[in-house]
Amino acid sequence: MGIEIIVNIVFLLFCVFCFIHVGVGVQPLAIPGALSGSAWPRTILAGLIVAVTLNIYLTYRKNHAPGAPREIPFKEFMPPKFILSFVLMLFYAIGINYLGFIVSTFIFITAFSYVIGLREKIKMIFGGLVSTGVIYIVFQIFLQVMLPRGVGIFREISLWLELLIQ
Amino acid sequence: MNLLDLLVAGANVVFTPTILLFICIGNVTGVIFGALPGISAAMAVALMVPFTLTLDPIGSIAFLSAVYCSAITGGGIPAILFKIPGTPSSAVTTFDGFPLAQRGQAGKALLLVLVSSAFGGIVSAFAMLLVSRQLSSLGLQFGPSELFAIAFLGLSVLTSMDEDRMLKTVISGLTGLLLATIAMDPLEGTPRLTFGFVYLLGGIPMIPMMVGMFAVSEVLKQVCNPTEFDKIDGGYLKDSPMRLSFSEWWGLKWTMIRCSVLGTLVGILPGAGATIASFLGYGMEIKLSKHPEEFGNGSLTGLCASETSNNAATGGSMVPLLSLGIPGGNSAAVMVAALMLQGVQVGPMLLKAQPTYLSSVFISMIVTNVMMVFISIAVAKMFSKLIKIPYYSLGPLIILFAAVGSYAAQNNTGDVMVTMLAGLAGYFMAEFKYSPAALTLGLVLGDICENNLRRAVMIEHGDMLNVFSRPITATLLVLCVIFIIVPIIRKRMRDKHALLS
Repeated sequence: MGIEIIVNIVFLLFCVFCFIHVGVGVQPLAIPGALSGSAWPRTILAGLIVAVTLNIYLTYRKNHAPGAPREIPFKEFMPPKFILSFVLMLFYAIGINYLGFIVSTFIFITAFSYVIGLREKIKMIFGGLVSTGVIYIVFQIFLQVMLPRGVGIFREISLWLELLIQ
Repeated sequence: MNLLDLLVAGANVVFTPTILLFICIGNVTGVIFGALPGISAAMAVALMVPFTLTLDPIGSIAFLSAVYCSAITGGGIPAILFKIPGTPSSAVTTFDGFPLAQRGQAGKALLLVLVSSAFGGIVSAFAMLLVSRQLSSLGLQFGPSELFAIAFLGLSVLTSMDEDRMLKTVISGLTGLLLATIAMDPLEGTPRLTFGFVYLLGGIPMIPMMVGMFAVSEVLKQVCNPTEFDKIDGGYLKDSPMRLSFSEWWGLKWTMIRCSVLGTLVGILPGAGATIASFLGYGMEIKLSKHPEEFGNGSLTGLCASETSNNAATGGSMVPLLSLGIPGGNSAAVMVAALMLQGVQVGPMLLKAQPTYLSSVFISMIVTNVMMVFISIAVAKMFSKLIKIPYYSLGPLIILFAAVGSYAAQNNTGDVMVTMLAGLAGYFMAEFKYSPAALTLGLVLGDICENNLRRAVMIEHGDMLNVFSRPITATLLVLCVIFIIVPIIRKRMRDKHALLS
């Protein structure tokens, strides 16, 4: 079975679950004639259930028709470089809270540029330092956006680095 | 005071070295802020409010409207060059702007964006001057049911966005609508589809979703299948001429006029702003086009429609602000606050007592829209230099901008996670030929649709027939049905012809 059909089936099951789950245990509104909070989502979910079911059928028929293009294998669809890149992005999204903006951004930039092809260590470190510094100056100093400082020792490191930059 | 006297009085106020300097500063900062992802036009205006304290009230509003107009235009620059919408209203610009840039026509795309933005802005400024009061009273006749119908009209574009993959586009649009329902229900006060996540109580944030769908997904795509930008004919901007032939300009004249009018009207409506205007303008042009298949693949008409409409909404939103004191959108609300800080009570009496307000804002908007073209070219050239950087340096930089831009909107690290997940979703959607654009449309219009429908039903005590049978609502809904059905029939007929031949 193709990746697309599997994703569609999972999404269909999620829609059915949401259709049943939305509005359960909520007291009806005291305002006369008002639409309940589940009415609009249920209308959309009903549409989605019909559309996704039809899509699964059509995709299955298309995939099994004579002369259908070959299915892309999982490894080709999501190569290791892609998975590693996304893991780094997730690490950055989570790490920014704990390591602080400066530390996590520097790690992310150097690691990500390595994953997508940069091999010169000096360029990697210099690139990480410059982009972290520039973004910090633009957003934190000029635009007064409070960038995260992290927790524990990383907060101390962030404060010390901020003093250096400022 | 007649119109000519009014204009002379306005010109006298605006054409002073201080005001002109402030309009120029407003333009530069507006374009730069607009070009930075995550800094919306409203945020740019809010950041500039402290500077207005040194100005008189008329100078303040002239300065802030310069920031507002140019921020909306600035959002188009990264949308073309990097597929990152600088402001939510430039999400539509990415559909055709980025494909043009990939074909080595970034200069052409950029010139079109700037000129059509200026055109939309100038037309809406004239509309503001000439029909300010009449248009505001028309806008005020729009109740919740009419606003629902307008938002639904925007959704009717779903069937015509990609006629070859209609079902997938509809699924994407419905998914966007579903995502828009995730939040605390404002009427019942209970969490809806949040699955226990406190973060989701505030709803799925729009800016991180858009930035993820369009920018992060593109980086992920480049990781798998890198495009060699250096090999693109004409480079990205440096060698790409900023030129359109006369016939190309001439072919866009009706698009510019139609979208200017539409954008102005949408701008006047409370709650509907530049983002909705750009989607509606784009949708309208798809429906009117003889070649709808070109949209999304670098169509000049699509690009022109999006940018003319969103900039026309800027002038439109000033109409209820100046004549009735009702802000048409977030940026206008910040402007009201800035004027209040100076002790000015915005409302119907303001224009009667000080009519120069209207004419000064009009003149300043004309000056802004002309000045903006030249300033934006300079800023775009600065941005385009980034594209010459090898992708192993540019890719991380785009992710960094996307992450910080998403975070800056609400100072919430959860938004960074949403951006990354939206990037993954956008990548999958693009690979399986679903439409991230349709999902964004659903997300933008979902809230407006639902809230207005519920309000309308409540006003009519639950009588749906009364809700939908109001004259304007009924007309708009009939139009929606036509717009939904026509592409389906057109596709069937095309398939039939293809089979026969």
